[in-house]
Amino acid sequence: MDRSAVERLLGDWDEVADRAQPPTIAPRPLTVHPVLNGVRLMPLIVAALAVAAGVAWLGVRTGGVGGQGPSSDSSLLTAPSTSATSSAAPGSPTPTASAAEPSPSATVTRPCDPGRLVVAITGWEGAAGSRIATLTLRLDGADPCTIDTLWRPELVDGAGRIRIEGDTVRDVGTIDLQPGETLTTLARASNDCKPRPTVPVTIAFVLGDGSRVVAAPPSPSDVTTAPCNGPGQPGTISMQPWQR
Amino acid sequence: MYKGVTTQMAFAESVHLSYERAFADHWRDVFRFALAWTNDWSAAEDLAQEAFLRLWDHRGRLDWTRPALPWLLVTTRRLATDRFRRLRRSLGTFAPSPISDERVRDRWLDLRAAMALLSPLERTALVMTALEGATYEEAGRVLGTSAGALRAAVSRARTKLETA
Repeated sequence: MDRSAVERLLGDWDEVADRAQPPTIAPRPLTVHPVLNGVRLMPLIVAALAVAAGVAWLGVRTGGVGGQGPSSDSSLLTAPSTSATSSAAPGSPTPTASAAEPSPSATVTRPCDPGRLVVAITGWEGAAGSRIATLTLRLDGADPCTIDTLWRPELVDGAGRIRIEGDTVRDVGTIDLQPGETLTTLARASNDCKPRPTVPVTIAFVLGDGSRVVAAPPSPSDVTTAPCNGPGQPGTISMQPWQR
Repeated sequence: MYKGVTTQMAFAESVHLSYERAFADHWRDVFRFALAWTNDWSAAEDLAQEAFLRLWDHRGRLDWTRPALPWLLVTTRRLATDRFRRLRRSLGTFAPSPISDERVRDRWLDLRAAMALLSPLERTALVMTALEGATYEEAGRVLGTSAGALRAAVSRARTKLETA
């Protein structure tokens, strides 16, 4: 291979390496709800099995406790309200604190009512053929609840028309929300080649249960949309997981 | 170093946005660096992913007024050298992205065979100085060696390719 062949080889390498496709969103660690995290559940499972075995052994020895004990202790693996009710069944012995009180990591909160989620775009930034929206989410409710960390985003205009539709999300974690708590995220949109939108342009989110939350735009006349990079190509929109 | 990638993030409104910008501006640079070092397309994608996850993990401790690229490249090299095998296993759930275009894939396989004659240091030094516009001093800082050693590595790389 002569000198010019080496230069051709490098030129080829340069061109081929540039064909790599970056991920659609910047990598971030997945947020996994503690209840869904198998590693953190293991100590609970082991503890529950140990308690269940102990109570069963006591039941055999005394012959008086019957089936109530094991069933109440096995409720460690279920929601706290269920646990408290079943362990306090009439005629059964008062459960010990360690058996009846679930650890904080086992707390299961309800999914948030979408009507209580207040989402807003606080601003748009330009970035390499895209526009990035900064969003906030506030829980406007009295009770803690849980949301999925990722939703399916859509870029929509003031007439409710979808300009860009995001892909169905995968690897969804969950995050607990306290009343009044605010989360933030970023959404990136690119290649909006549709005709001029009706103001205001904003972002809507389709939640896992199919309900929809529309973010308040930064202003009622906001017309920020993604630059058109190629009319033949589909637009893209993606979001980062919600986080504190 | 690296024409067009001297993004200063001093004026970013938030660390999150700085991270987003670093990703938009530098993912290709990190991938190309990792590709030169490993000569393996899937491994380079894995390493780029891992390098950005590290950047995310360190986001609160970094000085975002300085360019992020040198930090990313040094991190990528360390990941590639120190824990490459473990990394490949831990990222096993991330399906490697095949090169979908058949012609590009064929070209890459030819290039990979030719570049396999070189050591990781020779390959990366050659790519950084010949294609990315880095000086020997800049490449040396990223690769953890002296400018003189880099110059020798590039010379060896060219000789190996010319005599192949």
